[in-house]
Amino acid sequence: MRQSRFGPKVAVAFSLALCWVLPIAAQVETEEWRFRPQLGLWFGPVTPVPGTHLTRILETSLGGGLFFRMNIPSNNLRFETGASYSYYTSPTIARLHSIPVYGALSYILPIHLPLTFQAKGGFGSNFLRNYPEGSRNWLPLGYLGFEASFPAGKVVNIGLRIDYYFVYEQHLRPPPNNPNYRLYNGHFLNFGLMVNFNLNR
Amino acid sequence: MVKLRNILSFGALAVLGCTNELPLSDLLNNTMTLKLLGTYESNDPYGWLNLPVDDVITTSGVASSDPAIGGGSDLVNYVLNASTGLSVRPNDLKFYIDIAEIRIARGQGKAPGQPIPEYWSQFAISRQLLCSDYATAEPGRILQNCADQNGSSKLHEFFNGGFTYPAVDIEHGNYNHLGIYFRRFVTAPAVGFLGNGTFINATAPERTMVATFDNRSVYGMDVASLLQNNYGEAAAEPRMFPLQRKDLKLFVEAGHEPYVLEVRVFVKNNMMVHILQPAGGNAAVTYVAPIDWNTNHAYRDLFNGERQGGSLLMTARTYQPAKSGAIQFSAPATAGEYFGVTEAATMLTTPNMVLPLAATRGTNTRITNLPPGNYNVYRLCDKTRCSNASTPGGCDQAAGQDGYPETVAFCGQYTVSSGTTTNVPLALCSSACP
Repeated sequence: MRQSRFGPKVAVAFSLALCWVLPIAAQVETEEWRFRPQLGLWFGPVTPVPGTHLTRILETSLGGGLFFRMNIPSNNLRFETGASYSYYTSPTIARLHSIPVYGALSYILPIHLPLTFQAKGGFGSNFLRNYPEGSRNWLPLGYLGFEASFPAGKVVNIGLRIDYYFVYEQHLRPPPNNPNYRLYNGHFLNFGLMVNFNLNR
Repeated sequence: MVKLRNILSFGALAVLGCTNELPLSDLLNNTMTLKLLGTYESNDPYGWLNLPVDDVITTSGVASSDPAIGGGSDLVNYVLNASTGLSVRPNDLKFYIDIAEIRIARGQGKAPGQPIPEYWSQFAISRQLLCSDYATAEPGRILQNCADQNGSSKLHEFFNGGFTYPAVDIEHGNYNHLGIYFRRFVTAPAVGFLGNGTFINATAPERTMVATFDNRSVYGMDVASLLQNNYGEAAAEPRMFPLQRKDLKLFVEAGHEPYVLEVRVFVKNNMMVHILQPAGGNAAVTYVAPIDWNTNHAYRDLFNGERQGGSLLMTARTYQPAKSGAIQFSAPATAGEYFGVTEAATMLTTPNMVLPLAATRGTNTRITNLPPGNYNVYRLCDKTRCSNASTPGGCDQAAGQDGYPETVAFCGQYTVSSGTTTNVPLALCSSACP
């Protein structure tokens, strides 16, 4: 009998599917896993990371943003996506508008307190537009975050979050007519007072 | 499939960058260099020339002084002695200059109530201290902030080609208004005398006048306060805060090609030994301040003696060094004279009351860093001075020389191209300054 050439692949796929489904099944049995999305917003101080080049130009400012979070079939991981807006000013005329957009995995630290601690990592893209040059671009970003929150009732959670963005500009080319031009990356910190809502209780 | 590919490529562009624009690096790299020069010349300035002396001080005494300051007095000898007098030792001049900031704008001035950042571009807000030395009148103290800024070498550069003023880039386009905010402009030596011209302190005459600079006392006199108002004027807007012009033609190109914003203040070789002997008082002071080429200094007038405004001039221009040309004269002019240019649309006239767009000393023959365009070319000479016989508040008696080039000789109109040198025969710089 001719053996199907898909046989081994199907077997592997089936095994993988089992690895994925079985823990879910276990969770469903033990913790009644179900979709629990959250929608949140934050505002607070935003700043270039102290000591980095941009602190020569830009000052600490206020920013704010939105995020959406959902649990995935895991005890400790969630998926988060968010966007925010920051407008950096300076004592001179330099200004910077920044809209980072990211996706991240959020790990709930196994600390058994009424507070929930989450560490986050992800990537995305950052729209930037400066003044006075008016140059604008979407730049790739890397994201790290930390969050501490507690529930205030069944719907609302209140917390604090810190976000770090690494904005990568050095993959671009310096202008050809300026031999002294140096390329820089950006490092930004956001500190936010946050509130999020459990959309599905 | 095509749609999917479009979506994917849009996503990739969003992540990797749509263009090669550099929003972060552009903030940190300067396309502009702000150069502040303390000279009439934009390139190759004179060294320090001997100081002119106000025409009221002559070897036979100070004209109309009361009490009389005679020919043999300490004051006259201190100023005019042929080998030790202040007039022949310009290298002993000291400057202590404190600049708050430089601003640029489009318009004819801030409207009342308009916020400052709405009108002015505050692109150079770093306070700059320039000082000849770091010594103070206070024992054991130095001018610490000026020393920390290396203000002595900055002052040297100010008088020899310009120093780079810390600044950020400005938006491209046209500007017409630029102002320099002087907090202090202290000069030394300033010497106090009794009313009849006798030294107050014969052993250290140059330690009799004290001014404040960099939070300390220094020997000298703050002449910024004397330059704030014109004769007879009590202007609400002081002339040194800012020292400004609203008729400049400053064009900033878009892009990353480096350019220079050159700001010139005519300080070097625009200094004169002046005297104050206020009527009714019993004291006299000699000090160094800008030449009274525009209005005779009313040295005995209690009110107008301290109103010497308008004698300090400034101008500004932009150029891209990589796209500039030069003008070459066939021969040098007489020492003390200048060569200068203006844009073709602007004519200099005698008496010359403005700084040329670019200039060099008369003993040099080349004006450099000129953007392509048409220029009026001039030789500028010192043929007149504002005599003490002038009507008060005016300058209608003008026999003699004072160091300021009031006289203009037009050499013709010439075209300058990028990277080339345009020749100008000196013989064509006609008539008025032979």
